Amino acid sequence: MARDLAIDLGTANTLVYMQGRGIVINEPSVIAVNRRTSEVLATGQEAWEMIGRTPGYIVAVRPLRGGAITDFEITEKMIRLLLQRAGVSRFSRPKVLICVPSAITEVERRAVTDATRRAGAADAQLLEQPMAAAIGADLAINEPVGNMVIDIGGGTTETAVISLGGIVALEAVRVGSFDIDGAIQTHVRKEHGLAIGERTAEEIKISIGSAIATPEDRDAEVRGRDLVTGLPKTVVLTSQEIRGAIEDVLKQMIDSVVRCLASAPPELSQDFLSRGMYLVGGGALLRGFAQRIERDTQVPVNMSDQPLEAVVLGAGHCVENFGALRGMFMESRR
Amino acid sequence: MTIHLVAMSGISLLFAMISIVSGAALAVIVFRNSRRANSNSGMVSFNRHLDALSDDSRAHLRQQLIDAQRRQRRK
Repeated sequence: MARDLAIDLGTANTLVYMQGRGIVINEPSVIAVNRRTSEVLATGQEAWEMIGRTPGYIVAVRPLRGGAITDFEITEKMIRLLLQRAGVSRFSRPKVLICVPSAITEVERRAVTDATRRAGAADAQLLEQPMAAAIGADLAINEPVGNMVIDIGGGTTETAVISLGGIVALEAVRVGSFDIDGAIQTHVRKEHGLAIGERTAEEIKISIGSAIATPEDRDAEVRGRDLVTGLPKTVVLTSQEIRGAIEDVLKQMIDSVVRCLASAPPELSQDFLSRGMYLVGGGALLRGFAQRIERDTQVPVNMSDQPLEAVVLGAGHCVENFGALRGMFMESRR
Repeated sequence: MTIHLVAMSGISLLFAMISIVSGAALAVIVFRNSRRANSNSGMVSFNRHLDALSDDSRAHLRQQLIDAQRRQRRK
């Protein structure tokens, strides 16, 4: 009998949970395709290592940007490959639950479910990422109290207030940790006349990026291509400089958290002060971000135990209780 | 002969009307019963939904979180 699957189809990473087994796939959401033949050449980590280093006929892309599907055909290929790797065949067709950003459009929703069914799923259901994140962060969302979760993904930042097993208030912006990388790329280009790739920008963010001044502030040498001479060049960047470069992006994320706090019913607002908010997603790992949100909102912020895996583990819990939690799924509500 | 046919069709009409009325009454009873059952099933499914998210049912999830932490430490 087929084991049901949960998929966290993220802008940055894709994770697959198999019923009764746990997480079976965890890799970057990247696919490398031969432009001439449309054949898939690599996926995941292997394809990620190809970004910015491929010959003209190969394209290594992320099929999702800003939480939205930018290439339906490639997304379908990626889902098909994921299901194949998880053991889905013509004779073994599982139910599949896919976590998607809450701001997904009707067209994108249909594209994901159709692609999943075509790829061999017996049934395809969708679940909002903040809901899965709250379950995965082990929050007591079945109780009549306000639970607040902030999911900072690669392309979106979603904040939700959850009580009695449902979303009470929700705020989503299409700004995520890739926008932080983009801001670093723009800053280095404008201020130092140096072109760097998205992987280098991500490395800078991880090594010296921070949301507030911390004792670990330091400098980093960055290599790229001089925009004037075209020659390779090295510059030194500081943590403070990077903080300034990413400030606008961080502000947009924090503003969305504030808007969600403002739209929560007053009865639940008081719970946030005692229970705090929970931070999940890869963007939550930016140094000092939890303290920065706490400083700007005056609400305690707790870091989830597994910020990168919370969404898929939450969705996995839904897969383990598919029948009982079916009412939460987006397709069932339509 | 004609009188006999008219009497027969009158009786058939009467039986047809009785069957339509009793069919409609039966449909109303079934519909009302099903609505009553649905209102109960709403409560049942809501409680099942909350139970599936309860602390006890999340024990499996907590184990997964511990496993994930172990995996991360090994890396």
